[in-house]
Amino acid sequence: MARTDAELVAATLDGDRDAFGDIVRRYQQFVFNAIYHYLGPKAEIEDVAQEVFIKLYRALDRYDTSRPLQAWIYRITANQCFDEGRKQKHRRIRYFADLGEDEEERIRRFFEDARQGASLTEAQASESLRLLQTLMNGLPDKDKMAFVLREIEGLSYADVSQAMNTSVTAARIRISRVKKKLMRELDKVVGPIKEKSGERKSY
Amino acid sequence: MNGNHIEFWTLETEDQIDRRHLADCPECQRKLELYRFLRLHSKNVPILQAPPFFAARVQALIGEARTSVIVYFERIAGRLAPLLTAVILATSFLIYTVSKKEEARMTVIEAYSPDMTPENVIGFTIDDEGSGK
Repeated sequence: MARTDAELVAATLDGDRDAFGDIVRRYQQFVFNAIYHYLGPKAEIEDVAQEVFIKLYRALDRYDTSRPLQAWIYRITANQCFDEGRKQKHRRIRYFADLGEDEEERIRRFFEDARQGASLTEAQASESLRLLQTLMNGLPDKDKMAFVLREIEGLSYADVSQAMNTSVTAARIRISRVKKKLMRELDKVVGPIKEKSGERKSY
Repeated sequence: MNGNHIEFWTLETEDQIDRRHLADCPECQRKLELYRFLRLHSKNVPILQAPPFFAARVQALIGEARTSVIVYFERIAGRLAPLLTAVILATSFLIYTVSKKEEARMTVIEAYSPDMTPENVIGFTIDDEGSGK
């Protein structure tokens, strides 16, 4: 039977390195994807993920077993992303500039396809992150992280609040505000929609 | 128009949408498309798989960190071991010698003064009121 997080932590503190390996395996998928979706495809994702787990290991003796380990891992991951994001800010700007003039046109085309009810092709799906990164680049770090954790990683508001060290209500308000901002940005990018003659959409 | 504009950013699912309002409100229809688009792409971002052996690599890194500390102390202890042994031996010998000398001295005193008591040595006794006689 799989050991609980608390048992794995206790075993790790007793010098069982395999137990810590189990913790890494249990949470690596979340950590990798949160970093990838926050920092973008060009980030040194594995290095950042390693740093998250090493920080976790070093601080494990201060772990409060009355709280869920995953919340702590979410928080370490978020903080590591913020640090890394600050280091890579120059890269992010360059990346934004790399998008070129046709980026707006691409987003507009995606939007038109979505409007027509077309599902995403594989190529478009792989562009989704780039597109979201484009939209999210203007957001403050915490707003971006809240959106990634909730809307992309699918965490509950309670988990987001623990990762962001805030209340559930504050997390909920932040995420609503971010969605509103992103919709406004997207609205600016896609511009007015030209309805085809005779077209009537049902909602 | 039926009711207020829909606040799409607060919605968890489309079931929460006021359909009657939506049917008559082009602004909210537009927002619904933006909302759907954002949702569609958020839910379709590529998912990364952690590389195989990632956990093993982290374990190795942790092992290196721990080993280096242990090795450092072992090295220090290795260098200091002969010195520590010498200090312990010298201290033991000193204690042994001093205690032997003291023992010999006491034996001599006892041999020459078998009835030696504290009063005989000090030369007076101390009464209950604290004055010497």
